[in-house]
Order: sequence, then structure tokens, then C-alpha cells
Amino acid sequence: MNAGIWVKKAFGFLVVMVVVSTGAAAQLKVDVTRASPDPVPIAIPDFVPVEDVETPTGNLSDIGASIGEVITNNLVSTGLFRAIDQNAFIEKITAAPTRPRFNAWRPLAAQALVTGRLQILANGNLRVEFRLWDVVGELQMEGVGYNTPASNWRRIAHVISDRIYTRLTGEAGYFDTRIVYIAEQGDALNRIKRLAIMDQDGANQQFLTDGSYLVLTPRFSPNRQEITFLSYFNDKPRVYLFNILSNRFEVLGDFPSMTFSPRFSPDGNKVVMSLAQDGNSDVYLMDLRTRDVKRLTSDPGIDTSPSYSPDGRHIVFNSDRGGSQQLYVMDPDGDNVQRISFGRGRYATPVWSPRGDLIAFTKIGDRKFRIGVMRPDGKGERLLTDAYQDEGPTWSPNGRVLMFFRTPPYDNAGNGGKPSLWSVDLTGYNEHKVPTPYDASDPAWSPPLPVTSR
Amino acid sequence: MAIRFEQTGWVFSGALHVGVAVAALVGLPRLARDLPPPPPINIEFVRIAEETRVVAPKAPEVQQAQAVEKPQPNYAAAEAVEPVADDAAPLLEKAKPQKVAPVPKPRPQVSENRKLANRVAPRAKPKPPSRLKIKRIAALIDRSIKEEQEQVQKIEEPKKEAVKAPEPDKKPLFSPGLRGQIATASIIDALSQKVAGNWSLPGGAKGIQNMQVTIRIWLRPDGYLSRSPEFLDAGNLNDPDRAFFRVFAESAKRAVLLSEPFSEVAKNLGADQKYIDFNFNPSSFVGG
Repeated sequence: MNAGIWVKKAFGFLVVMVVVSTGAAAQLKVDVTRASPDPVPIAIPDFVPVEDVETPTGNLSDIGASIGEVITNNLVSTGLFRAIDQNAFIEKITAAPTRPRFNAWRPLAAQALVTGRLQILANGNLRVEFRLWDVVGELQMEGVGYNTPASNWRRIAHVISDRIYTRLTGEAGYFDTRIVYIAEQGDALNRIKRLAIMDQDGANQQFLTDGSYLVLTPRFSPNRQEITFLSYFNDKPRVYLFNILSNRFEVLGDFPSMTFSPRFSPDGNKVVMSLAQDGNSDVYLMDLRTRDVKRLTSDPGIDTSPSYSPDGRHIVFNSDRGGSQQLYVMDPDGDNVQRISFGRGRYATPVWSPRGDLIAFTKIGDRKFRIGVMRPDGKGERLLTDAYQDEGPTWSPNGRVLMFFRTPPYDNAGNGGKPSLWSVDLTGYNEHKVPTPYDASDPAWSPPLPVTSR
Repeated sequence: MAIRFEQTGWVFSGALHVGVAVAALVGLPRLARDLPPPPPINIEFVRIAEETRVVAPKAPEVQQAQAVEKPQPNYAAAEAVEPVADDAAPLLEKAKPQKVAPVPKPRPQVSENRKLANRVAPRAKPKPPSRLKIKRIAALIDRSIKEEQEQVQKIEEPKKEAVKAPEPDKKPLFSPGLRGQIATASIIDALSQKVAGNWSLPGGAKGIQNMQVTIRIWLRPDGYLSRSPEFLDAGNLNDPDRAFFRVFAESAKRAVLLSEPFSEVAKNLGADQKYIDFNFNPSSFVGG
């Protein structure tokens, strides 16, 4: 009897629970946990002149077409965007500052549209205006105008690319930046190495040194247009400071013993490097204002390649104190040294990401040199490249892209061994070669160039 | 002597059977060769959301009954029944085996001479005379038709009631109920996949694995949006410190707009289901 009552109660309880639970799910809730890996389609018509006039740099309509082309190349090079073929455009964009007909862009599957207009101002300067449209939402996302000498059109194209990239990805752009690297010429036994600089897309190549002396390990200041690099003067290593804007060299110091890989602190006021003294390499810190040098490590192992975290609270370096070359992190005063890499193989040239969440490195193992990243605690190690010899990673200023140099092996005919610059997204995709006129190695990425705003 | 011979045969037979059984039990597992593994097959797993595992309501039965084609009896009722040939009879018997009495095995009526002849050389077993008759088969067919007609009437009766039931809009597909079917490959998953296909997310951004945003949409009966989608608890998207979240949220909104119309679900939304919430959560594919 009692059992029957309990069964009835249990059944009633179940009924109530089912009714309550199904009632809660009355409204539709859909979880979207996947996304399309395809790049975002974007339409970038030529920038249109208000009046097509001749300028010392060229015809204004040609400049407009070139600006559109540079923006397109920049955005497509990220791997995040796909440019829609101009031949497919239905609406012809004019210089009139009107809203585009979104219905004419939607059939092309465009999600974003960039329109721009040019005009020559009374003072002879070029005014470039651009608008970024959300084709799906039918609204203007961005609209900015720039005044500059007409000869500066290429830089304006990079600045506009950065604005578009930032607005569409939420991250700072890296197109208005430059790369300093070592340009190499000649055969393997008589190599001429010159310090060279170019725009991040390979344009505007310049040599900063004449090749009469050896140049190594150029590094950009994180907040100034300055480079520190290592050179040999009278067969002695010397650390230089070079200001790009003023074109001036400055000697940071002569070091009687071997010096490696000087690198700036985040505030740009210090340089951390490794010095070999008495047969032992350790990490040292130089204050650029006082030129005082402080020793940070004193282990009998070889400590090299120090790199600051962007907040300046840690330094990552590599050391063989544990038996093989591994990555270690320490406080900026040299205390609290902790090993972070424990994988197979050796780790070299660690570089802390400008956004602080990753450390890039060169991994040596399996008869290869490969570029990888890991979190500052050593977890989440990922190899981004898989070639014969990739090394010397440098981060884009937004911490999104890595550039490095790749050296192919020599073949039976004696060919190979010529390095070139490559870049890869931190996701491991979109690996491509950066064009340089000569062989190139040891790249360093600049911070964004300054833009004066009114 | 004859008895001894029989006993020996039994013993020999028994020993042989036992030997075969022991050999099978002991030897076969060892004798069996390891088969090579079958070739791998690429399978794409479609993740089924938790929400879609809910028990579907009772109402869909009514909806589905309307959508289902009218069940037809599996006989040609209107066609004239032709005289059935003898060779067609076994098929009908197979369809209704319980209705046909088992045919008794006929006893052969043979003479003494035939018995003697059988001892000399075996002959084919004589075929029993068929007891099936066309009249009996016709009766079976009539009975089968009658039964199926009754069955169809039973199915159609609740359907007529369903037509009299309230309009479809008043009985939502996703309303609460006690019974139902598991909606794994349901419309919710279809919606999720449709929107995901239009979601272009700039991957690799810092902290993206911790982001998620919910967008609410309202639909017209034709599946198009009746008003602009809205973010739920998304905070201030114009905050310069949340630039990436703004881009993330906008990309989600764009995905919803690109997925318009939602005709597959609009007609099934009930009066109490005025909106759909899309929760965009990239943690599972960006390594969060």
C-alpha cells in the first residue's frame, strides 16, 4: 500500500520536473560555436579624384588607383581579407560624398566597402579622404581625411590600411611600419653585409651602411625610430645607436669582449645584451642615459638573447645552465630565474610579443630550425613553421605577425644557403616571402611610424 | 556381436564429437589470425548543442501528421482482381503466414511393389498434391483488403481531429511538452550551422577565447527580421578599451544578418516565441 503511494508521488514529481524543464526551454536559444575560416570579402575600388589634375608625382587618377592597390595588397597580405575583383563591381564609385548603393555590393558578397576621394588643395598638398562601409549593416564604420604632400601618397595608403584593419579586426595595424634587416651580397666566403631598411611591404628599400664593416643583430627601439645594432670597429665589437629620422649614428660603447644581441627595454631607455667575459657569457643591462652597465646573470652557463616583456617586469633569455639550451624568465634585476621551456630540442632567440601574451623563439631539433611560440609560463608551445632553417623571429608591433629569415640547404650543385625574409601569422597560417632586392637576414620590425593629427 | 559393434560406434562417435569440441574451444582462438584493421574513413563530427538534446514536445506530432503524406493502403483496391495463378499463392501465404493452416505432409500411397523397388534404388520423394485452391486464396485476399481498410481508417481519424485543432501558429514547434523526439539533428543545429557559415571572425586576437556575445532577433512570418538585431548585455561597444569586443560583436551581428531569411524556423515559431537568441562563443575553436 505504502509502496503504491510512493510510486504515485514519485511519478507526480517527475511530471512536474519535466513540465518545468521543458517550459524553460520554450524560447529558442542557439549556440554558435564555429566560424567560417574564409577571409572576409572586401571591395576596394580605386580612389576617385574630385578633379583629375597632373601633379609632380603623377596624374591624380593614377595616384588614386595606386592608393587603392596598396590598400588592397596590405589587407590581402594579412590572410584575413579577400579583395573582390574590380571587374565584378556593379556600382561605379564617384567623388561625390554620397552613400553607396548597398544593394549593388551585396550580390558580390562584399561585407565591407572602402571608398575614397582625392583632391589637390590650394597649398598644393594632397587631400585623401576615405570611408569604410559595412555593406551588411548598411552603415559607415569609419571616415577620415589626410593632408600630405602628394609624394607621400604611399604612406597615406599604409595609414588608411591601418585604420581599416583596426576597425575590422579590433587590433592595431602594422602597415605603416618599416623593417630593418641585413642585406647580404657576394659568395659565401666573401659576404658583404649592409644594414638596410624598407617599408613592411618591401617598398622604399634603402641601405644605411656601405658594407665596409660587418653589421649584426639590428633591433628597433619599441617607441622611437631608433635602431641598435652590433658592428665591428677595428675588429672589436661595438654597439651602435642609429636614429632613422635624423640619420645619425651614435656609439653606445666599445666592448673588449664578444657582445651579442643588444635589445631595448620597453621604455627605450635601456639596452639589455649579453657579454662574453672571462670565457663566460652573461646578461648585462646598460642605461642609455648614464651608460652604466649592470650585470644581471652570473651563472657559469652561457646566457644570451635577452628580451624584455612589454611591461618591463620580466626578461626572457636562453641559457645552457641546465645542460641544454633552454628558455628562462627572470625579473629585470636578475632575480627569480625560472626555466619555462621543457620540450625536446633546444630553444634560442626568444622574443617577447609586444602584446605580452606569447614568446616567440627558434627551436632547434629534428635537424631543423623552426619558429615557434609559447606562453610566458612555458605552456601552449606551438611551432609555426616547418622548413630546413628558420630563425631570428621579430614581432609586428601589434603582436600579430612574425617575420624571420629562412635559409635553404645547399644542394649538390652548391646552390642554396641564401637567406630571405618571410612572415607568418601567429596562427601559423599565411606564410609568405617578403620581397628584398638582395639576400636578407636578421629582420627587425619597427614600431608604427608617427602620424601627426590636427 | 551386433550390439557390441553398435556400442563401439557410439563410443567412437562420442569421442570424435568431444574431440572436435575441445579442438574448437582451445585451438580456434589461437588459430584465428589478427585481421588487419579496416581502412580509416574520414568522418566529420557535427557537434550537437546541449540545448538540442531537449525532449521535443508533443505538438510536433500533430504538425508532422499534417505534413506527412496520406498513408495509402498497400494494395490496388480499385483494380479488378484477376484470377490468381497458382504460382502467386506462396507470396500471399508469406504475407499472412499465420492465416494459412500448415499443409500436412501427404502420406504416400504406394504399393508393396513400390516398397520393394525403393529398397533397391532410392527414388525422388513424391510431391504431395496441392491443397491450395483459388477460392481459398481469393477469400484470403478479400480478408486482407478488409483489414487494411480498417487500419487506414484508424490512422485517418486522428488526422481529421488535428485539422480541427488550433492554427499552427498557436501550436509552436518548440512549445513545452512531455513527449517528443530527440531533436539532435534539429532545426536548432541547422540554425547554428547556417549562422556559423556566415560568421567571419578575425582569429588570433588576444583574449578572444574568453569572449562571447548574445544577439536577439525577431522574425516575421516569412523569416525576415522584423526589427534590427539587438545585443544582450554587451555593455558599451564604443568603449575604446573594448575595441576588439566591438569588432567581435559586430562580426556576430553581421553573421546573423547574412543568414537572413530564417524561413526554416519562422513558420514554426509560436505566439509565445517572439524571438531567437544566438549566443556566439568562439572558445571551442580558438583554443580557449
